[in-house]
Amino acid sequence: MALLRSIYRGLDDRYQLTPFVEKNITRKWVPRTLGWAGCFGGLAFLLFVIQVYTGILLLIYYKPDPARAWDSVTFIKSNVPMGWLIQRVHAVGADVMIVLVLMHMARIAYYKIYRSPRELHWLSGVVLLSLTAGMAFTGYLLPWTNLSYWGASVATEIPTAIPVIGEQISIWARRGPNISGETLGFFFAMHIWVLPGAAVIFMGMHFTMIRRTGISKPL
Amino acid sequence: MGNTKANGRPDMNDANDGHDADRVGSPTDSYRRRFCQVAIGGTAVVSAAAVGYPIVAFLRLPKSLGPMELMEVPLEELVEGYAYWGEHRGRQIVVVKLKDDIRAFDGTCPHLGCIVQWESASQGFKCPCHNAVFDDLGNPIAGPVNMPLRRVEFVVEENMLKIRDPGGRV
Repeated sequence: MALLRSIYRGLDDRYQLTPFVEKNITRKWVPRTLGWAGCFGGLAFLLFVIQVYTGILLLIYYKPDPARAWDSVTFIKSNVPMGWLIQRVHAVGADVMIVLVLMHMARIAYYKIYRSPRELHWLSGVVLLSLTAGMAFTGYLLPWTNLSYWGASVATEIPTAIPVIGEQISIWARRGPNISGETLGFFFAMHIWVLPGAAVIFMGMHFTMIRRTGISKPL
Repeated sequence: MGNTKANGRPDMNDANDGHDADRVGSPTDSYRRRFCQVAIGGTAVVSAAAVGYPIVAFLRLPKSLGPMELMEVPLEELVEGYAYWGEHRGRQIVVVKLKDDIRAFDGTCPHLGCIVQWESASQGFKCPCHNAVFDDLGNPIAGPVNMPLRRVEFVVEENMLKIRDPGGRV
């Protein structure tokens, strides 16, 4: 304990950690009208962090190949120590994250917190909702089960209702006329890099803007 | 209590709420502080263990990763002057058929652990990493190595060549 304290003091002398920690964490007061419902946004972010961690672990064994995807997920669930838990947390965590994002947005909408000067908070939040849904949807195909295959088929059929360009959107998303190994590779890349990367950028905007305007207080 | 609004609730900006000035520093206060420290610290340690254990456990080797089978070769697969490669208990094993003999070696180079190659032109082994050269008995003739390739025992039963080797590292 004394050792840790002296290490911290050494770093603190050089990098001025304490003012930073006090300003942002230990002495950052929030409005006392903020109840438990004010936690939903932060909890959604916590779920994102959990998804990143469990996702990195699953990447060690997952193979984005139609011939091996299902086997690799089964291998994780039955042979890897604690693999069943990590895989379940990742799958259920996606559902929980969507629920939390929706509860967060419902509260913001109900209390009309989206009004000036917080319009961009709401808009970036809507983008984050879409990205969350996109990550959940692309992840759903990856185990390559019957359910995920037909789930992806049905969902990529929906854009065909759009006149003129709908068909092209569907073919683009499937990388061809049907769900295939090409779709799996595309969804995999979207799932592990493109969508989470975009989510990190928009979360950065979201959090920075909240820091700037402060947390909303009732009138 | 500090500033109080008309509705009886303390002002939201009152940071000192709940701490009466005369109680701070009293024995009860320091006992409470200690209790909170232990409770929060204990919860943090238990939570960290609950989160950390599955992550560390996940990184252990899984059951049955990679084949650990014993190597068997049908004799008719062996061609004179050429090598037959296989895996035995996770080791790369090479069987070479010569004019009047069949020999099996652990294919791992004793220099720095690369897998050697059989060169049918020179009837010897060569390591691709640092150009170690071995003859058809596995003895070193050139390159950075002065140890032979490890000979591996085998038996022939019912036209099958069966490797008999405990495996493990050289």
